[in-house]
Amino acid sequence: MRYIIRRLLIMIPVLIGISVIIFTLINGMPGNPYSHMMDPNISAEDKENMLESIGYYDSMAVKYFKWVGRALKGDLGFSIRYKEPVTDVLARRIGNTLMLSVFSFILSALIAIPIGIISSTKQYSVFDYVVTIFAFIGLSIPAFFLALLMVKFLAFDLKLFPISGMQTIGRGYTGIVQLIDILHHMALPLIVLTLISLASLVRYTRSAMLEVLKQDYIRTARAKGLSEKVVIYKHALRNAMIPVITILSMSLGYLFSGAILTETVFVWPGMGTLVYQATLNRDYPLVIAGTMLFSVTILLANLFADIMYAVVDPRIRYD
Amino acid sequence: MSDILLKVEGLRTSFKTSDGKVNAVDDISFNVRKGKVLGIVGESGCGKSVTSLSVMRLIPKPNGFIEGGKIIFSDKDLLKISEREMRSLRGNDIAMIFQEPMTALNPVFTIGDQIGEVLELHENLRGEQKTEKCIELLELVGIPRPEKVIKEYPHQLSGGMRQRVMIAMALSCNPKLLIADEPTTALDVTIQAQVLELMNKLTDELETSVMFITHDLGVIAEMANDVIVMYAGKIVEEGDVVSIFKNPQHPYTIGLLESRPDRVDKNQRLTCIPGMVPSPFDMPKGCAFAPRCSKCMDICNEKMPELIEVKPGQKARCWLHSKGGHKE
Repeated sequence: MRYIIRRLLIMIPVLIGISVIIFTLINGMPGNPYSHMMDPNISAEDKENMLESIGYYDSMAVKYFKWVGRALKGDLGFSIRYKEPVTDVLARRIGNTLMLSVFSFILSALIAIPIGIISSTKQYSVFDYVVTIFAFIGLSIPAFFLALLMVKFLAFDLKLFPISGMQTIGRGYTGIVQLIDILHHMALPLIVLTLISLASLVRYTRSAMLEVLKQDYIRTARAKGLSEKVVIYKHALRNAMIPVITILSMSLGYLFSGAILTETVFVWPGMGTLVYQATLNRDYPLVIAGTMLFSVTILLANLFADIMYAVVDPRIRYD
Repeated sequence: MSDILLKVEGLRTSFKTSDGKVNAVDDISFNVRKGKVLGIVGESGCGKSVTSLSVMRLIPKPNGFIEGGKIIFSDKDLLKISEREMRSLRGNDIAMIFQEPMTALNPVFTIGDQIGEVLELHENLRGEQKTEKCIELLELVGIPRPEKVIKEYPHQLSGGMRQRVMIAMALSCNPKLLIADEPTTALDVTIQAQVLELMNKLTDELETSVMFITHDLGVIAEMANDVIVMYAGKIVEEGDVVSIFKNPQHPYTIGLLESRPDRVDKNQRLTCIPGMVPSPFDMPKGCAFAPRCSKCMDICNEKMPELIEVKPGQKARCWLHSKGGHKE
């Protein structure tokens, strides 16, 4: 417990550092985003006055402290493009991304771990080779390409799933029907995201298991007369899960950031596309807020990974 | 015959490697008498551990396999029974202690869990009874404050303590045969003596037969009743412990005895056997020990001698004692 508090305290300076870097980098981008917001017919002098009044000519440090001051009060600024508070924009999108990423996270873990275990216990079997080949395909195929293949075959040719979006536009479905409609739209991006993370997770589980199965204590477990099932699923798995759980908890940090490419291909209205678009539109407040949110979640996920590490491995004690 | 617990006949265990098949254990026969200790001595890589793992049928799969022979334990051929039957013997009638106490216990389970597992499996003990028996066993092997230790993890114990835990685990179901594969090699000398004494005492009390594998002749002298000396996967000499020490017949045994450090006086150099154990891929044509043997004769490089009785109860595999060896 003391360790967790200490780690949380250490996060503060780290966050300050991250925010300074993000803030200066993004504000340092060339171009004036506010010019879109102003009536092109006003005089140059008025323009200057307006920019002066919103603090456009303040030094970077002053801008930063103004931003931090507001951010601590929960005000992340006003989105230039969406013409509404950044927090509202984020709140609308975050659910969409979470829905997709949490499902694919759970699915890939549920599928990958058993496959990895079987693959390791039957090393060099046909099953193992097939799994290995597919894992390599999954690791080497770019997400956007896999996504396009899916769109071509499953959505365009076979018409099993809608091509893009999150809901059928113009139907105004409600209740259960709306839910089913969303799930139907979610299927393809979900398959793509799951397959991509599945591949590396299978490899991780397999190699962790192979490593553990070589250990002396596995031989001891067998020498006790335990069945192969107990040896593998109790003695080996518990040890092999230590690195796998760490990797899983670290990937929790990416749940919020969404997968930019996959979301873009499927026009999924999530965080990935939001921040990507915001960058293109020089929507500084939104980019900064989005990037900060990603940093915080990744820091928290790392902390969570360290805690999980201590939970599954009794040799690790933080105090 | 009735005083023999384990009878190994013509055991051959091989490993498949990328360079071909290797005979790690090549046609070995020996007996373990009831309540007695059989010591197996030899340098690293001579097949001692493979012999013991073969008896447990725990040769690492899929590369290792037992090619032939018989392992008869209480009238049953262990190579013929099913995996299920074998499992009911492991940890129950035949138990094993390994060389590395640091890694032989599972790091993520408590000591109590790991001993309790055996009791649950073979003795059907649960709950309170199981805990009590665990504590009793830990007390038996001389672990202080056992009620606390059962809740501890292996990394919280020293090497000597862990090896005691291993012994407690091995003896938990009163095995008829205990296989100890270099149980003290990884321990400090003082701890070694304590652990050996403990094993001696417990196996005496429980009348357990022991297969004791070591490269340390001092340990053999202390522990064993019968001794076999192995070299390059074969038995080169066997006999009772007194004859082997007093009257060794094979040049390899003589060499081993001479290279013990405690024989050496001050200022004297340690004697040693020159050379190394031959690679299994490059076995000499004749006697495997010939290239290192000080008494090597022509025939030694041509034909492997048979293991023959030199004296009653003592056998050696050497041309010095075989007919044909003295021909020239």
